Amino acid sequence: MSEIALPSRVSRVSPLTFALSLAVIAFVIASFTTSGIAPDKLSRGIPALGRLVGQMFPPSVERLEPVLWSLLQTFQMAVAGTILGLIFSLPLAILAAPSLSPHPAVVWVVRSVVALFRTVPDLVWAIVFVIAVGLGPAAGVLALMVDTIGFAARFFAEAMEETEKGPREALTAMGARRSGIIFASVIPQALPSMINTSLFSLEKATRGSVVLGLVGAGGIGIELKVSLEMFDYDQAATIVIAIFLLVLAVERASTWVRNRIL
Amino acid sequence: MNVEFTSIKQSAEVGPSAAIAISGLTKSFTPGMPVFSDITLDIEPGSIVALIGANGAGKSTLLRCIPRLIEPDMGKIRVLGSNVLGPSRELRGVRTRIGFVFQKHNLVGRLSALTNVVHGAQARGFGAKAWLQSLAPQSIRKEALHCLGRVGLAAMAAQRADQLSGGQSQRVAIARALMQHPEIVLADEPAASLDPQAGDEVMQLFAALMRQEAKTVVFTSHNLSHSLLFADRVIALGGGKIVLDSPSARLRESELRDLYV
Repeated sequence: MSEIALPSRVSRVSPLTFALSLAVIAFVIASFTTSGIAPDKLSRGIPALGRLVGQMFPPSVERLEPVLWSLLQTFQMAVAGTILGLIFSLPLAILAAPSLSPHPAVVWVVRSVVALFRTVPDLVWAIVFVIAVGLGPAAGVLALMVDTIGFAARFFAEAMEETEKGPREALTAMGARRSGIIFASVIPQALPSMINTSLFSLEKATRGSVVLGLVGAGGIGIELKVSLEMFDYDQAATIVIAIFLLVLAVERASTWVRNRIL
Repeated sequence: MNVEFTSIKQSAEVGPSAAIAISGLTKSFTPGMPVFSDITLDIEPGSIVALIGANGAGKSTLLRCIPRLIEPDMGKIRVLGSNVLGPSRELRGVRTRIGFVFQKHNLVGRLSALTNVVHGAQARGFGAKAWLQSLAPQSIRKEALHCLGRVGLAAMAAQRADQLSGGQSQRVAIARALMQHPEIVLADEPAASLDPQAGDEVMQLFAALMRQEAKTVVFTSHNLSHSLLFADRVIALGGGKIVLDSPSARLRESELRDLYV
């Protein structure tokens, strides 16, 4: 029997791979240089951060009631935006799933639209809708709806594509209509994943809704902006804590629901 | 091959009275390597036919070509007088008259046995009312329960399909096919994924129900005793052709075993 040579510890790298690796390393170094991250800057920033935290504590409860009302409005924006987004996501997901869509061109168009919704940040959508419908929570709800569609339609479509093909084939074989196949076989199978995505969408929208006020799209963001601009850091601390508690509560609640349902 | 063929019946023309009439059917997945070619056969109404053959002989492919779950390359298929290879609207109409029982049951695991049986009503165009048992009218729910009763599973109507045993799942699939009111039932190795005892029980039940309702049945099987016991006629595929077509009463298991050598 001929002796088999021991494989080399390091695999050979082609000149192209080597050149690309060098380019990536150079780009990473350039990224740090351009962003101006430097140890001396960080060391100067730490005492300033300490002073800010010192001014934030103890948090002020002077305007607690209006802050809590704003917080409620923020959560309501998140709920409304998520639900509208989920409603639109379902038909879009069906059209974006290659095995359910009526035509590959429809898949391409819908996936492109959904990708556009996803890649443009919610803050940019908020600015767009503030211009379109004016200042206030309506713009925020629309921004959150679009952001939810970008997220949920994609994951709904993937969940539908991943369902077992057997039950679909059984309904196809008996002459069921496309709608029957989707609603009797595909959606029931994809439901756990879709519920999961919906809960994540709500969590994401709750986090997103907090900052939409910064551009005038309603919610607690405007309260935070005003507090920071007026140097009411103790007031800002109250708002930040309130936001933290809201996001935490929504995450906990959605985890509980997820565990109960799935 | 050391088999004396009792009869080989390959009609040249599609028979008008046949429940299923196949003529010149060819299918290949790889160009130049047909799974089968120029298959011609008639299935008489009310008969139970076993389709046998070694792995890769094309039994399941042939069976799936009948409701056009697999697209044949060439040939003609008429089911109950309708052209299966015609426009999609006509195809859907034909499919509603064909029940299909799959080897892997193909139930929606998260749904109840009753809902899976209710799905059979989709063949009769009940739309949204046949998506879930909770949406279905009382008459459909009662009929689905009756179908489950006929396969001995009425008591498990509310059970999720993924909590049933293999044999129970296959019974639910049979109940779903009954719910469809088909004139023809095709079954692709209905007992293959079950243990021998459950397989025998399911085949006995399946054949008995089909005989009661005088359905035309074609089932594929590797189990030669099932083929001889439950079918009126045995058709064997080999080398892409029909190598045996005979009434089961004239066959012995040892003869069929030789087809697998």
